[in-house]
Amino acid sequence: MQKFSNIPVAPAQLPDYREASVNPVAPAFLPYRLLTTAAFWMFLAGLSTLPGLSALIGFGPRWLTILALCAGLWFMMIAWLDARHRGWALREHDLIYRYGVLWRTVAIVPFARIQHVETSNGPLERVFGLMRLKCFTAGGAASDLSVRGLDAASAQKVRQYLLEQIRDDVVSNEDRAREEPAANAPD
Amino acid sequence: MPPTEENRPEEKGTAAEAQWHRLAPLALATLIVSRTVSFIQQNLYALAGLGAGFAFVEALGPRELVMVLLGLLLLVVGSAVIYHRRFRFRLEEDALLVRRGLFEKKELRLRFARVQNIQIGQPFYFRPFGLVRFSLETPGASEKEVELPGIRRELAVWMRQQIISQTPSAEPAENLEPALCLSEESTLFSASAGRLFLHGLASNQIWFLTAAAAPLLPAINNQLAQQFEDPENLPWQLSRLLEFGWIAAVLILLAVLLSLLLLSGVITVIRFFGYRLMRRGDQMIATAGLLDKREQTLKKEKITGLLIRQSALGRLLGCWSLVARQASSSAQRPESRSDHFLVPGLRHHELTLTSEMLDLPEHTVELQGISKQFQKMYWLRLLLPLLLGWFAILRLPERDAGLLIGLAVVLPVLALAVHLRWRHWGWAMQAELLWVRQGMLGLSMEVFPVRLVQQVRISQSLYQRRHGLASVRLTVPQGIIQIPFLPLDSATELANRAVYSAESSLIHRV
Repeated sequence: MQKFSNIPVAPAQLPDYREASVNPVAPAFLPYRLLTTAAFWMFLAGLSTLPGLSALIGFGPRWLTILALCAGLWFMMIAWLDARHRGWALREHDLIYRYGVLWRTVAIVPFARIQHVETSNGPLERVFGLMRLKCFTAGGAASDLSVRGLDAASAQKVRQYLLEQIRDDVVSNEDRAREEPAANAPD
Repeated sequence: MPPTEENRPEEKGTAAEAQWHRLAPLALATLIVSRTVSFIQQNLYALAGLGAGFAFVEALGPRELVMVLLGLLLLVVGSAVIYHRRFRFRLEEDALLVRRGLFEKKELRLRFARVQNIQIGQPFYFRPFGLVRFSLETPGASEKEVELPGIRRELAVWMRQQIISQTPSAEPAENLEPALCLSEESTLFSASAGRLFLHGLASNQIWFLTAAAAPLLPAINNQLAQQFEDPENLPWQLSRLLEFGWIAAVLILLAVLLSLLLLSGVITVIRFFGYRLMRRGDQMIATAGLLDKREQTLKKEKITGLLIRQSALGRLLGCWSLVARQASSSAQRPESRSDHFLVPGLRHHELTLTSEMLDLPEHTVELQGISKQFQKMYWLRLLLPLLLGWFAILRLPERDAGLLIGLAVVLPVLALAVHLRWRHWGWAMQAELLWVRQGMLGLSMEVFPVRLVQQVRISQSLYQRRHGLASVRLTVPQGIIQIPFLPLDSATELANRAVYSAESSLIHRV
């Protein structure tokens, strides 16, 4: 059994995730988001001009198109705010990811819980030079974190950094396990 | 080691220390039955459709239908035979190897260190043959659970000992009990039939029974309708009862409910008969069952948290239950799985055995509530519009009385539900342990060491931002724990503490 230690830590002494300086997403994320949102709602607006659809729903075709265009404008505004607000930060022991406009969320994943890191990008993201970073944890999909909007260079650097952190953790854990054979062994 | 009919030398031909085992012959019978049942369950709609389809085609009759059914049965039996014949397993120094599969042989390697719990079950039809069902559970996305549907009991017990204690010993010959380790075994709790019956009454099983019985309702309804058409068919008591109209309906409903409760109680007594919770060294062992005797073993270090639960009826009956939480990456809530480690029928003072499962400095703790804005928000956003709608309907020239009365009943109930939900949501952080309680009528309390946290999410909706509140979502090995509508300072402190605890602990990659 590991040595049980219970030294109280005052809240003021705890590292605060709010103090981390957040790196904003790549500048290319904004046009990427605007483009995808616009394309989606233009497509819907185009659909709404089909004669059959408006008869089905009961609105006049012009109303549907206007509705689609208004929604498109609204979501593009959201996308603009999203690109401004989204960001990530690396601390000594964890990754912080901030996203969301109406529901502002901050997600924190300690390196000690990351088992694997991958980068990926879709075809449109490739055009804008963007990449996604996915951190896999033991908990499965519920605790995996997908960081979007990184430019390719940063994504590779962060991935490399995370892999090193994970490796260091495993090494130091093995050292610790050798020193204290009674400690809980990692999986 | 004397080779028996159940030992097979390794395929390469060299006599290896660890030998491949096969399933017992009788297991084939159970495999056939279980596969048939699951086949029917999965393809119920297809089979029903098939039957209906055949009924429409004139020339074809029942004979063709029977032939198709026989063909399907043959398929299922054949697949069971192939599965049974190809099933192999072997115990290595630090892992269990299982080879199984119908078309392609899949080999699974389960390391002992990853095993969360071991279950050995002996249904009554296995008992004369000395066979058991052996199943292992490990966390992980692929192949979480391995079941050996029928092996010798001695082999199963020996395998369990190897996996848990990790002290290698010789494999037992047939019909000999392996030498068990001599550590002390202490009984922590045993449930009498009365407590089990109460647990059955209090548990949510009754709703599953109702849901299971629901498909039968139309058939029962038709039967009853046929009977009632002719008044002479009715027993005189029932016809007198029916004269009272709606009172009769209520009484009949109560009778049905009562019988479901009784059924639930009896089922629980049978399922958990003779429940005993023991501790042997660092293992927690639970034995229970009348028709299917089960022994569940888990290592204390594999317990990631506890769920202390009291359903609505449980609060009336003073009946608690305890679930030992373990790592699970399935989306399905652990409670609904049949193999979770459940301690039924506890009284309040017996909850002290939580300290046997988890290092708890205290058994109860003062909880902080969540912000009243939670209640206010739901009342304003959900109920107020409904209330206004109700008034609007009242003003209408032609109003639907049923809808008015319905809403008039539903609205206070919803308001009460929101209030109860708000009132019962509470949390406390004490000595690196997080306690979170929630519930509406029933209560459930989760407690776990905060260092096990895998991810922390703090989110704020527009409403919450305006009122300085936030919701915290923690992902832990057993699932997701949420606390909504906390003051922002408390939320950030909780998040920072959880993250700090996870990062400064010795256990990584959990």
